[in-house]
Amino acid sequence: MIDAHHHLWQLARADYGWIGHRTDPALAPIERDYLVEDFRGVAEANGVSGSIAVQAAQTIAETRWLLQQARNSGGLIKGVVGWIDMAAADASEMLRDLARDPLLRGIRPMLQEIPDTEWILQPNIGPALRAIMELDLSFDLLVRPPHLKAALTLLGRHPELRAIVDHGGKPQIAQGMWQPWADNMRLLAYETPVYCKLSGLVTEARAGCKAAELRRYAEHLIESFGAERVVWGSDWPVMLLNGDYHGWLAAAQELISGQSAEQQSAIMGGNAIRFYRLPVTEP
Amino acid sequence: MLERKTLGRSKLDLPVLGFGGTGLGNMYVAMSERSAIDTLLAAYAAGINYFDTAPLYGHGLSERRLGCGLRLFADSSIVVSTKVGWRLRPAFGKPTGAELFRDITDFARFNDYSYDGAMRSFEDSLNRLGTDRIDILLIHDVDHRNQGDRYPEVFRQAMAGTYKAMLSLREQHVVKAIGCGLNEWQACQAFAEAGDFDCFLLAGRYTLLEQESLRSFLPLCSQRGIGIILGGPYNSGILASGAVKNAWFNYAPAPAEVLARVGAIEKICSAHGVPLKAAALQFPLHHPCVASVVPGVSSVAELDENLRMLNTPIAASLWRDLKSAGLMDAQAPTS
Repeated sequence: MIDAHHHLWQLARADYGWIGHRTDPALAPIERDYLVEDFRGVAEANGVSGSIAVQAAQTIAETRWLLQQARNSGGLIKGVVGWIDMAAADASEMLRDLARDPLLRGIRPMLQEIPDTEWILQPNIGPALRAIMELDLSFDLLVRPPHLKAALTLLGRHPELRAIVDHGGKPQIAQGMWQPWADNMRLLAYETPVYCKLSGLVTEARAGCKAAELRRYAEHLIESFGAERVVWGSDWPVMLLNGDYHGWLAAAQELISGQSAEQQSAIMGGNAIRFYRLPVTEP
Repeated sequence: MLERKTLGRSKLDLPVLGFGGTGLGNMYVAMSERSAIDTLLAAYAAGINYFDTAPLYGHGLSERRLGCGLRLFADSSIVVSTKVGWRLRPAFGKPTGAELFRDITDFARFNDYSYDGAMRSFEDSLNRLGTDRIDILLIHDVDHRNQGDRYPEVFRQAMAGTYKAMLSLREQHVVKAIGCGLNEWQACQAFAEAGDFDCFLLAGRYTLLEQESLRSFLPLCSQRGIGIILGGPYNSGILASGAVKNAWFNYAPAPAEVLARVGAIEKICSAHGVPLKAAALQFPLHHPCVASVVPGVSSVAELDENLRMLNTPIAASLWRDLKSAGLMDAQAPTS
């Protein structure tokens, strides 16, 4: 199995912004270092043989740090989704430089943190987007439901951009949110080739939620995107705020148990290998 | 009457003072059979109906003695926790490797964190305890102190083996709650993140002397409804004896900086007319996650002393003074 979405952090690096300041008590449970060996512990115990580490800080330094962690992970971390300032004048050069490391598989701006929901549509982002496509990198869309319209426009303009929506587009499950999330995710799925991550749903749900409460959301994603465009990820360690690694893995396996064996194995690894172009054959 | 608290989401109702079973396993000193029974009966009479034990303690001796007690109490409201991770085999004249345990049975111990090993261990415990039910089952000793460099590998084995076996036992309602019994909050946090655990028996890592677990581990427990049983509230003795020569800390003679810190805490306690032991026993219980403190007991006298310490009145000003002297984490709940 491939975990297509997790993070690592070393708080003393001090460029995370959102975590590590001990100002938000809700984050206290995960305000400690999470390094490769921590991830290896949960991954190997659960039969996860490879992963994608995703940026958690808006700095190039963190992307380089993640690449270094991946390089020294003994093959466990098979790729990194990093960050660049896409609006910077030298964004394409930065990207070309980073992409010399074959472990860099994609880029993720933290769109959910940007108040302007249409930020990604600005003309000055264009060169960076073109460089992503030219370098055959992928694009992670970290969006909330209000950003979905802009994502649709973006992918309409750039049908060749290999993109994936993180965490199922982050429906507010705890509040029972359904529309406009459901229709917009379906539109994205039908009208663009975008992939979607089956991840992060636990974090959006109520504490101690069971697979049954997530079923409606997960089934909508699988029905819309099809088993060949849904990619499982853990969102570890963020998901630890509301659950445990084995619990979410077991819940996800239960949620996709209606699919064929081939489809289940695609969601749990094969699709991640294809989407992120990982140099492995076995999921 | 002993106050009671609920052990997190397990809904198990525990007395705030539980019975730590290391003494029944002759840890540090050998107990006679008569003294073991007397101590168990005295505890039960005092309202202590939660007993923690483990195959490790006296290599089966603690479970066997507790089993005698359970038969005498004949009370279905008794809560028992035991552990999996150490298995026992007849020594056949070879050394038993008992270390801290004196005058034990002729069994040697070995680690087994496999699925089948956990199932066998559980059945062996049922036999030694002479019971068909164990309420709380804990993974034993998967921490750096016990496993050293092998810790990461053993952690993976325990998650792939012991944990899966315990999940199955909980699903079958053979046990009511599962967790780990460990000496390190970091290892407890790693298990809480990896699997669906109801509780942890944390030994010595949330005490009058150290509260580092307040940073991330205890908030995680609060968030997820995980209950804490606090073992070793005296940190192996130093919080009972005070900063004397030959005081023990963490299963070994106490280092100088620990002696100095305990000395400073002791001074503030005596200024408030509170025995160090009373403060040590009561402090962890102020944390909402901590349901029960379980000091090891080796005699009726020790048990009575613990009960007296638990009932000693402590003014809020003691905690305040310890905090302002920098001897206690300011975030520690004390009311």
